[in-house]
Amino acid sequence: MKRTIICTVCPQGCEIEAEFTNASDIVLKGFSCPRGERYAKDECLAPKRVFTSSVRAEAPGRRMLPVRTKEPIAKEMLLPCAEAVRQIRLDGSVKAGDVIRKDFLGTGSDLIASMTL
Amino acid sequence: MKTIDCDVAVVGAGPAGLAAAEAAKSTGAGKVIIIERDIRAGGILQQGIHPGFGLQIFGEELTGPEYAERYMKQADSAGVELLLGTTALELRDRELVCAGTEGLLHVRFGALVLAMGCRERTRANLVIPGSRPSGIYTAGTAQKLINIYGDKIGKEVVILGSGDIGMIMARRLTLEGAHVKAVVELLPFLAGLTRNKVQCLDDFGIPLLLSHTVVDIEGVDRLTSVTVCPVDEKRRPVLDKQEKIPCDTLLLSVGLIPENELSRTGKIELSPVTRGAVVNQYKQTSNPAVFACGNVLHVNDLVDHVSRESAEAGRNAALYAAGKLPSAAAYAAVPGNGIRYVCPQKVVADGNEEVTLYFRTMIPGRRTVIRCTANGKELVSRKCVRTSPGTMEKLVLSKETVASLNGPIEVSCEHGEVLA
Repeated sequence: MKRTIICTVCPQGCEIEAEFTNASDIVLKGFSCPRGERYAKDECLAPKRVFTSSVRAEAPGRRMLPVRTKEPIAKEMLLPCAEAVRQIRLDGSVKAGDVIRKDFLGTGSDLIASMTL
Repeated sequence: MKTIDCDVAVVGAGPAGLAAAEAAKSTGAGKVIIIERDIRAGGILQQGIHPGFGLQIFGEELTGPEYAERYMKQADSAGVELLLGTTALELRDRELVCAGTEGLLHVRFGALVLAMGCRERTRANLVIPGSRPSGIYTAGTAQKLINIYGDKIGKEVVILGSGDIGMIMARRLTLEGAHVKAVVELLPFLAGLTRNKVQCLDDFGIPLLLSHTVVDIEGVDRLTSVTVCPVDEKRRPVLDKQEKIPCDTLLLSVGLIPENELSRTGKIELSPVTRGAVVNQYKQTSNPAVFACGNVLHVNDLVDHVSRESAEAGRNAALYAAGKLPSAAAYAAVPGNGIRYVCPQKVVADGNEEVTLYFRTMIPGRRTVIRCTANGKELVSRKCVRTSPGTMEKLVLSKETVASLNGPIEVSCEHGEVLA
């Protein structure tokens, strides 16, 4: 399979040409850093994204606490995670980095707070 | 009436103001105060809950609130004072008139940093015909309503403008269960960053209609549809090809305007192109005691750039307040072929430090050579794989080059292949 991947690791937006038949023989051209090479490999085999959203939490001047997965998760899990995050209600104080749900929806990544309330 | 005296005053506690204040303090300014109208610091970063901040400065992918907290901590431990819930109303000579929770407040300063950010262009700025129903939001307002207040804003959405906030909201609304029918862009190319098209539109199969615009808005109480129409090469709508798209929500992501009302009260010279102050490389405005940085100076696409530029502004403001900022002859830095603007607009030929020129190209291209010349002679140049108006570019002039300047400099570009 042949495809062009636009790298999103940084704003440079390198166009990486990928050619592969299976996981062990990916040929990549056009990346300009090791992070870009890793990104392109992941895009070919199992695309990953950091999931971000917000959950109900009362604090002065706001009703939502921003949250994220600590690590990038499988792209197809974004919508199920968005669905599940709507059921979460928090009360009490939270610090940025606090774990809200361990191994969120079996993605392998924790859901953490991204703001201190 | 209360009066406060400080060495450096900063207006705005967003990413620009926080970085400027922290740098001013670290440079040795005694009392540094940030004046912020919101009840929390962080500015727009508070509602930018998506990842992608800090890749250049911290080498990791942070969300807006995380990025803001790092700078809030740094400013706090440096000893920066924060005046929240306080609006700066008027800039006088070495004095700001502010309205705070305890009434009128005068802040006298040795140097001032303007870091007010920008606001969004609205439907009124575009003059879109049609009725005036509810359901029309600027993308940033929608972002605040959803991410901070948890409101539901609509189910069937059309987004006008391919700016970064618009694309980010296309993804956010999709994750919130709404159906984003199209992102409509007047220009033949993307206005925002490519990474946002990939991660926000392509990931969710949201169509991007380039060279299209909205020519009518329909609905009495609530928006019921918008009419979308292709445009010709002169950006005139081709009306016989119009199409009605039923929707209950229209988001506008059509550009930002630096919020310079305060600067105008202080008679600071503004650029008609950037709509921000005219500055030299110190970020010093036409009033030598006043500096400007971040989105109120020129609209940035990356917060990392804002933090870097603003730290320079803060440091130079501290030096000025201490009477240590060098001055020398200043020469204009002007946009040449293919370049929309250059910031700073002036370069002081002191040669103490290298100078970074930030600028935007007019149209996207591949294998673009960007160069800076003086009297037709090349000072520095660089070849880029891709350039686009949505991505800010820069060139660095060495100390020696800056010291040798004796006339205006020009930034220009030449595309190997035009992508529009």
